[in-house]
Amino acid sequence: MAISVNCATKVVTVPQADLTYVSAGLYELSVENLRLWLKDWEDSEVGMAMPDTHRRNAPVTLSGTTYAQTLEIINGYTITLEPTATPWTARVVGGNHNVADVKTVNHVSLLIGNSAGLIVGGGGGGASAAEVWAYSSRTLTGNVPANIKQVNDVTITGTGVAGSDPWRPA
Amino acid sequence: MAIGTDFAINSTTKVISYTGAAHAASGAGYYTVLELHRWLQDLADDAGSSGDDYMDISRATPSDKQYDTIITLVNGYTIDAAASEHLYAGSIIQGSGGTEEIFDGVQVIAGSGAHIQVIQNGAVLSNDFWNSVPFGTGIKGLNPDAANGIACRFMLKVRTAGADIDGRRLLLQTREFGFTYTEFKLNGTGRGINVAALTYASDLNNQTASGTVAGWSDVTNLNAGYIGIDVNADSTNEFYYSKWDRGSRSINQFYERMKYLTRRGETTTLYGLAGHLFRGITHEVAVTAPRTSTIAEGAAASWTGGTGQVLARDSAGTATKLWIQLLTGVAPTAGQTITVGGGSVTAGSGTPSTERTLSFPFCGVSTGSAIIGAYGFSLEAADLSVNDKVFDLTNTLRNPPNLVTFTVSGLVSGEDYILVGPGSSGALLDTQFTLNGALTGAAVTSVVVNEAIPADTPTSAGSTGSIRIKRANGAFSLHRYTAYNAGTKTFTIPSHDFSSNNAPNASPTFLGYIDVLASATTAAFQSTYVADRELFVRRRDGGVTPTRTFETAATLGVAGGSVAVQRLSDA
Repeated sequence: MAISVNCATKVVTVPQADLTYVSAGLYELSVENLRLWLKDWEDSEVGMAMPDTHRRNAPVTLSGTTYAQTLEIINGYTITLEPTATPWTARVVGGNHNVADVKTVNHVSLLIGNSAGLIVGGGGGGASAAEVWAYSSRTLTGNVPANIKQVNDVTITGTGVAGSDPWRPA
Repeated sequence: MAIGTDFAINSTTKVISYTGAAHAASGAGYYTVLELHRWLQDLADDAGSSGDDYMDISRATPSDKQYDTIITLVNGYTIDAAASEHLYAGSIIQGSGGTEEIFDGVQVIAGSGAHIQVIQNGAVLSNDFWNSVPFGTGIKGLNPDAANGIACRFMLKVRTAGADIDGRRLLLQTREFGFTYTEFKLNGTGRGINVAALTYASDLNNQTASGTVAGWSDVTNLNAGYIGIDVNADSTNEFYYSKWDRGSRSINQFYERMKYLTRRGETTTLYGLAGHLFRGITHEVAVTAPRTSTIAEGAAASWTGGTGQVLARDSAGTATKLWIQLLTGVAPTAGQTITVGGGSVTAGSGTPSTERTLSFPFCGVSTGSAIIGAYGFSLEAADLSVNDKVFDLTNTLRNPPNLVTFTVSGLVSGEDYILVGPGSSGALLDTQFTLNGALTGAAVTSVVVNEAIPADTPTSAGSTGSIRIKRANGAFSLHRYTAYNAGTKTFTIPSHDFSSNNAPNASPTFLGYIDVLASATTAAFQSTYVADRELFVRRRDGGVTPTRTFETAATLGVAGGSVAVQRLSDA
């Protein structure tokens, strides 16, 4: 079952099966996938007679950092995440969006995931939870210039001359 | 040159003959009929004849003058054919009873140098001596008087053996390619000088070399005879006697081709007549029973007192109307039997023949970009445009519709889906129509709407247009209608199953003027312009390399319209 649109009610139904399984009761909905599905429907024979489903701002790169896309469901369309017999949670990743605003209320929970500084990771979308978790185990391999003023809240005195005037707490 | 040196009088036969130089040769002499009479009278009072002029006081009087322009040769004196070619400005009457002959004077008012064709008794006179170029002038036309607009003056025999030749009818015409075509009828010449006014001016819409026009053989007459054509696109045929296809030629080139086919000397036939004799319909004749056999088109017709050529009839077996070109005599009168080939019909009662106005050339006139057609003349509808005017066989003016084209360009074949629908305030007007009755059948072919179907609706959707009908599930289903009836507000669509997802009564419906996945870089539709129409254009591509939706308002105007779509990446 693929994503479908009810032209009469403008309800976009997203099947659970089209989402990425993360763990029991938790599925990921990619903003990128959602908007591509919608675009594909929009240029279909049926979709051509209907207004646009969404407005999108593509990822933009500023000073080497790629900020994530935004997706806005518009023109009265709503999103229904397929209710199943067992309540489940959808975690939206890969962009900022307004799915929470247009989501049909049912027993599917939504993890919005919007962030003012959401950036794009290596995969072209926002960093996944696993990627963020893995940041703590990374090793710094280069030299980082630093101007240390305090250690354990104690101000460092001295000029920092090696041998004769080493750094030390006051 | 004195007349006496150019003419001789035979003492035995009493024939006055011309002995001077031939036409166009140095010394060729031309004299008025009055000069001839004066010369004869001068000789007749001589004591004795001299030279080759056997005339003196002892001989019978040779001529009599009623007026300066009417000379009667009496007592057996006659002029021969050659002599008649060197006399002008009047008539010569000679003989009596069964030998009477009349030469009547003709004076042509036309531009200097005009080449004049004379049609007598249904044929072009091959001996056109009046078009000779007098020695040393370099300009066609005998006895011209340019100061008074006279192109030529001459005499023609109109009565022979005591009988008028076709009632002394003459038809004079100019058909020089590159110049205006005209004709002047002399419906029975009178004694003296008969004036024929013609024009001979350069035709600014006929400037292509004849050798070039000769090669335009893709201009053809698809139907030489009675034919229905819906020129004004009102779904009702009007009737004409021709249906020309102008092929790849412009309307003005078509006009030039028509002139070429009927120019001086053209013998290729049109409707069975040599091109230079073809004039178009001169008379519409009401006919009735009794009839025998069938009436052919392009066939010779005859009746007591006249002959003609049938250019069209409204029915082969039960004709009620004939459209003819009169060749000789007068048009049929009530009750006359008209014989056409192996068949015949009877002219109707009252005044069955209605004279129709001719155009020169026979197709009508060209404005350079449009044609004002002659009576009953038409091209196929697709070859006419809004500025053309044609007149059907009822002599009713018919205007072709203003077919305009709206084009969407900048498309990517196979990727862009394009929808051009009715617009309203910049949005798609999907409520252009509402259904008159629910569609619930399993094989629906008719869609009736409540609103009038606009006159600018394309006659069919073809493979790129549509009518969109809102179904119970909210979707607008696409149907490529094949026709519509504006009167019953009904669209005809290919059979479609509405039983499982019907279209409720009053469902919104709209036209997709273009509604298709692009198969080229452009897509277009054609319709009849009535008034400006707001359109809504939508282009989408949600494929592998998606683009942003492009939407814009547009106008279908008097000259059509166009939109170049934008394709902004949405990758």
